[in-house]
Amino acid sequence: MILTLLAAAPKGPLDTWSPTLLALFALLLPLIALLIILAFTVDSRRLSAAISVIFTLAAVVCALLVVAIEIAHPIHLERNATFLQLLTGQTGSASEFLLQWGVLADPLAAVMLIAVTLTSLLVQVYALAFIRREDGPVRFFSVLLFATFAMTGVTLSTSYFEMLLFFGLVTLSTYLMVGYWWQREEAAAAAARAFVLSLAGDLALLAGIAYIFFRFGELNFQTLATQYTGGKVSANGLFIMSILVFLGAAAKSAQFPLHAWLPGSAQAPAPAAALLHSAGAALCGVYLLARAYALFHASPRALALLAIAGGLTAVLGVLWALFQENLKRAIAYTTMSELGLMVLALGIGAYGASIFEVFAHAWPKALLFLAAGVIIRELRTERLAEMGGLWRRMPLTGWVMLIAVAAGAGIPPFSTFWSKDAMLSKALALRSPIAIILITAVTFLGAMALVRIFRLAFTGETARRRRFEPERIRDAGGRIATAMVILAIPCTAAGIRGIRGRTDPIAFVTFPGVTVSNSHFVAAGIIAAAAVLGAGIAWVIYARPRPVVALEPVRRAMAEGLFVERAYHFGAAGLLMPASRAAGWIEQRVDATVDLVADSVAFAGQPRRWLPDVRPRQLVIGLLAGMVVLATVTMMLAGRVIGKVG
Amino acid sequence: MSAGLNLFLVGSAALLAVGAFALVARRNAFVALLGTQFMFMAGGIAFVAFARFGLGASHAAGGQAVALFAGAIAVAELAIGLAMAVLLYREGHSLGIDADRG
Repeated sequence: MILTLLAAAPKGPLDTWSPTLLALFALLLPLIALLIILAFTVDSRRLSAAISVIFTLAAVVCALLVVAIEIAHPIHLERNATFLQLLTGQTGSASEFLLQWGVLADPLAAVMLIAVTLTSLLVQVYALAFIRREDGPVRFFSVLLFATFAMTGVTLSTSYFEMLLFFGLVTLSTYLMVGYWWQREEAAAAAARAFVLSLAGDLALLAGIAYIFFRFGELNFQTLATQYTGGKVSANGLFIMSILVFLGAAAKSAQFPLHAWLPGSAQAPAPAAALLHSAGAALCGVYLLARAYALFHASPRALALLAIAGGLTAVLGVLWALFQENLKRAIAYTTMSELGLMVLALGIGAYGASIFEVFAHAWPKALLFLAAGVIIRELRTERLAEMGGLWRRMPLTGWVMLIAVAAGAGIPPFSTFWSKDAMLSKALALRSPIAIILITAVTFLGAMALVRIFRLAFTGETARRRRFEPERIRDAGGRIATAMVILAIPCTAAGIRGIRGRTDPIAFVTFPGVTVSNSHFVAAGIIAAAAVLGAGIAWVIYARPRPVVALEPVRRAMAEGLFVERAYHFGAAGLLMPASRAAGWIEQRVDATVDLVADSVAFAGQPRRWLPDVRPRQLVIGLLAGMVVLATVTMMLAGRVIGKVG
Repeated sequence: MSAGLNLFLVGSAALLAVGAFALVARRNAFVALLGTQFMFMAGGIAFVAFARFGLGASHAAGGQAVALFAGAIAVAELAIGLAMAVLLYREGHSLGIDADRG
């Protein structure tokens, strides 16, 4: 009924019910809420939280309407409107200025928009009860709103430059979220690391954008999409552009070796980490790759780069996740492997499957972090070794965690089973053995890593520690339970592909020139078998955390992430610091030289300092003599130049 | 000798020399100011001459515009210079340039 009404509504950027206008509302509502909170209600915790939740709810409604319109209108594709057009109602040349800032509501943006706003809303409902008074709820809600605004901006960007601007805002929001408990030294360090790495990626992206603009004179995604293959730029040029854009995306989406900030982001409070890992900062790199996919699609080597980097990230992330001692770090590393899978899928041309994975993976990952927040708050520890036996004490958290683990592991019929099945179908259609093995192995190991977390935390005996009484553990209730139960619904249902046509998640987001490969039963069977087998093996292996002595060096190396972080530290201390010191020394010398020139001119310009008895007339004569000399020299030089030319 | 570029340039140089002499040799501030105006106008004449005959003939409007600007700025400068001269005269009842004022 509503769909028919919307289908009858007029279309176009300036009409009342256009998806573009709704998308603009979804973008501006969190910003308005943030400004209201900062301007008027900073002193009232309850009012600020209420404003935050209500405005985000409105944004969710807008996002749902955008999705509904995009489903109802197969023809209404990819129209964008600049902010100037939206705000002034003007169309035409005056409003089409060069940068083309605005919002773009197409199916890709719609999918991401609903993921961002809905996760943000549920996370806020959870935070209403989770963030205690002494943690500063007003600050927390402001940060969440800011992150939502930044992420929505990335989602709706029409051009590379607008994307870069919102990438910067996302970087800042990541810093604010990871460093939320800034009193903790590790949190502050992790926030700084996340900020620096993201910023390095932004710089690479800026270089790529400069190169693209230099060559094409255009930054709009849609306009550019048809121009890459036009022969304006050689294959090498396209490859370099792809590398630079990929670096920007890799720093955000934690592709190896720029992943070093992701495990540290587990330092964020549980709701913030849930937003960060499900639809927030960690996903906007994948989104950029999807948005700029035409560029990668034009260069086969760039696609290969995506596949290699994604595959490496996926395998390393899942291996590291298996050896983490810290609950939130273990979940964070599984995010890394999923991000690797998404990039790998883009690399092998499974465009729709990759976006589907973004959508399907958001819910279980948010739910995992929210459940982990409850566990950590009740147990007052983040170490998996000190957990256990929670199944009887917190049944509700146990059930939602079980659903999240099943959904994240890809056990049918939960959400990521369907997206991983779609990826593997594409790999099978390509007959690429490496891609098939990678996806299967990552599914298998990912199931192991997630079930290991569940097994260690919920079964066995509750570890006895001093000054800790397991009897006092209480299950989640109230708003926390509400948020988690609501999140469990898309975990179960987000993957359903029963209905054909536009509502099929894979056919919804398409890229011209990339064929949608129908899933076949072989792929579904392989994924289901890998996930169930991995889950079963993990269930048996991790029954009791029994340290295997032979594996100890491997375990330590893996737990530290193969020393990549240490390498970063060494690189920063051993290379960057001396380099910056040397640069500082050179800068001082250059500065002194410039100062010397300027000072000597200034000194010569005040002859009374060094010629105490000079008369004004003599100075005038000197001036005229100088003029004559300058004129003579100029004329001689000009004569030579003109003589050469003419 | 027809009225070519050289004639104007010689005239311009003569005017410049007169101005420079007035600036250097005369002790009266009024005359020195007058000398600077001569020199400005010499430059302006050179610009116009080049614009009419010389290398800049293809951009004739450019040279004339510069001459106009130079003239306008010269007048502004003269106004300030005269104002200063009047102030100096009020203070010391003299317009000598070389007078030691401490």
